[in-house]
Amino acid sequence: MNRHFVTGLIALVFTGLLSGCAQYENRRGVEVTWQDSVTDRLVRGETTRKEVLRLLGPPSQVISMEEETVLYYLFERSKGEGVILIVYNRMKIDTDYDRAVLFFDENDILTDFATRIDDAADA
Amino acid sequence: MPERRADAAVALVLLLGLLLLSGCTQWRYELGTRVSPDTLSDTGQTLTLTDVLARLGPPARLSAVGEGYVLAWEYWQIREDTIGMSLGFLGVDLASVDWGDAHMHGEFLLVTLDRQHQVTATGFARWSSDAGGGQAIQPFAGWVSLVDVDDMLADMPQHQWGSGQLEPLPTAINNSSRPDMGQSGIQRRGTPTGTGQQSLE
Repeated sequence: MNRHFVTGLIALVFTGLLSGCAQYENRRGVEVTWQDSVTDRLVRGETTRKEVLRLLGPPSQVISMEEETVLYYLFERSKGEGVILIVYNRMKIDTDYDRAVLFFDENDILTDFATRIDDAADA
Repeated sequence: MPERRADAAVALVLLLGLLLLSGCTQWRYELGTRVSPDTLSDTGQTLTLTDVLARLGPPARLSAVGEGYVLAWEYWQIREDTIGMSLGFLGVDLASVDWGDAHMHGEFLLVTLDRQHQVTATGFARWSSDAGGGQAIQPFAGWVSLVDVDDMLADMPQHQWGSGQLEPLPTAINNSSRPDMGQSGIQRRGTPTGTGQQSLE
């Protein structure tokens, strides 16, 4: 009985010594400039690509789709945290994306767009 | 005499600090040349491709898009600091405390032109922001990387035009549509790939 107790105690102390924890955050992409107050000024069939670039700045991606052009704005925010016990490790990583996509016709006129800002970004 | 003691104390603190800071690394990266929107300030007349190239030099990225072209110039300053401190002085030789931080400053100028080489639009962004960081107490070694800026240090896409065809299948098939390959659009450095056009790769 005593022997088991000592072994258990040693294992517990050893595990305690070998434990660790980690926290990190990562951010990538463009600054979020597509708040509602800005996109309210965009009008389908009227706003030009020049006006959009002036309002939102350069996008993450300019995608060519034959005659049409797409401007894609992306911002990624990931947060990770976890425990490290060598034999058992657990990491939890949450990633949120803020996005805006805008379609232009062959005359550089805005035909459609959609935006999303994750709630966490507002917090 | 008191001055000597103060000097000795400072030296002792410095020595102790050096022993404790078992790993301290600072990386500084600078990519490209600085960009200013004033270079293409509105002079009242439509600029041409010749004007743009004369003022800014060759672009970092270019591609055909829609009914014209898009050119981009970029400049980056990336800072990465990491500190690892052994807990040996507390009798815990097996663990270390790690801290990391990354910061980036970027400048990006985008110019679109029509087929007649006339500038149709320009966009400029300059920003300084936190790129990430973290802290950890880790046993033995660094199990978790707290700072990672490798994606920001990639070569220009034109360096991958040939090798892109040798990538594993999902990536190789997507090459003709990837905006970072300079063939059907352009992509800024550090664009997340977890969502958007490259999310299936």
